[in-house]
Amino acid sequence: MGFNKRFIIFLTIAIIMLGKLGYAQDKRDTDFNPVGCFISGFWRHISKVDGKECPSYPPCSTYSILAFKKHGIVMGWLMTVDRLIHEGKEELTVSPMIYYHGRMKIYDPVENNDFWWYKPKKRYPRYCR
Amino acid sequence: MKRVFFILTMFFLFQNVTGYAKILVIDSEKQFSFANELMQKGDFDYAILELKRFIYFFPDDPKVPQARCLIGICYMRSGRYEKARGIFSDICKSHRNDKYAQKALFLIGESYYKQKVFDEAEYYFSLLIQRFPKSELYDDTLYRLGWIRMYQDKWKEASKIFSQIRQTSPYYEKAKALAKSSLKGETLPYKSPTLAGVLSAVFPGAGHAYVGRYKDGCVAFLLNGVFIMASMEAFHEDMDVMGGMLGFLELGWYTGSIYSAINVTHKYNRKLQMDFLGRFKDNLYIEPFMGLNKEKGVSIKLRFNF
Repeated sequence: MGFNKRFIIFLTIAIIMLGKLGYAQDKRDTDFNPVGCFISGFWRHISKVDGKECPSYPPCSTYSILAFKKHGIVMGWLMTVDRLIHEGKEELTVSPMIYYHGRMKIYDPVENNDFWWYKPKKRYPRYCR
Repeated sequence: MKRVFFILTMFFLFQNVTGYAKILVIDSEKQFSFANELMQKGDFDYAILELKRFIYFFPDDPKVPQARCLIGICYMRSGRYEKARGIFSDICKSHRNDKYAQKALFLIGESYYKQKVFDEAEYYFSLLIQRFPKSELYDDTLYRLGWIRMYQDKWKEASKIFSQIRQTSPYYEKAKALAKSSLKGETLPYKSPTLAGVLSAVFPGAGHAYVGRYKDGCVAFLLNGVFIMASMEAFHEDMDVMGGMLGFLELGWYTGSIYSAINVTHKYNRKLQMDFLGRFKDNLYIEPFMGLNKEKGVSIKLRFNF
């Protein structure tokens, strides 16, 4: 069996296993999204390592799940890459710090990175007409 | 006989003492001022309770609409904006054309302003000016509209609105200064998000460097570089599937780094705008907001700090 074939088999098994684990944890969700479920499962495993070390809040793994849930696969992916790139100290120039679990973290939620293109369609009631 | 006399004396004595200690009369003024005191101390929940008690026990008191407004303000000051708007809306319905309707409209606008929902805030402030052009809150409303324009990055319009504030207003001097200095917002050195995106598309990381984020730029460049090289190497070694997968991943990194360059530019511009706005003080005084008639009694000075 050549390297390419082995690689494909390994990747397929990994995707299925991680997806299943993700699904097992997300089965209470009403809107089941297989790709989102895979990503969610994947990040859940990463977050165990990532959570404590990530200089930002929410940690990158949680951020990624939130971005995928909010904006779907394409924008979720772009926002995840963006977060991984801008995670360093340079972010401090434009984002505030918060105290979280005994450490100072850069507060950088999803809303901090989609404010310029995503306006939630909230309808407010009209008073005093 | 002596014993009976003694018991009777003690009975009347104690009855008097206990009866005297229990009687406490609170009139509407005392109740209202107590609620105000709590409000000024920041005990908003207790203030709401005491104001509700005031309305319950003194329903015919002329200060009842004032108390209702204050309940709304307490909700607003404690961050319960929806509840506050519900109260102001009721005031609007029951006082369609008097001063309390004006205040309710203003406070609904103010609640949206505090939440930074500027479109809604603008709607209510404009409605107030349109419906009550002679309102004593006219200048306060213009002042607020000016600030909304500044948050919306419309500096010229903000300056124009500030310059409309009348000389009789306590905001006149402040507004005059703001009309002048807000125009400086036009010259803020904003960076172009489009240019950042194009730069990053041509040379990954260049968009980040454009806004002064050199480390992020290096990270973006290295990530893209490594994946492009790995992909090319895989194709070169006839590992087409591997090359295709790496290429697909690289496409994600590439588009992600373009998005990142645009995003950090928007964040940079927002910071620039907020820093500029932070130079000005936005103190809105409504003085005395509720004790308008200057009648004998309590007058309240409200200060909104932003």
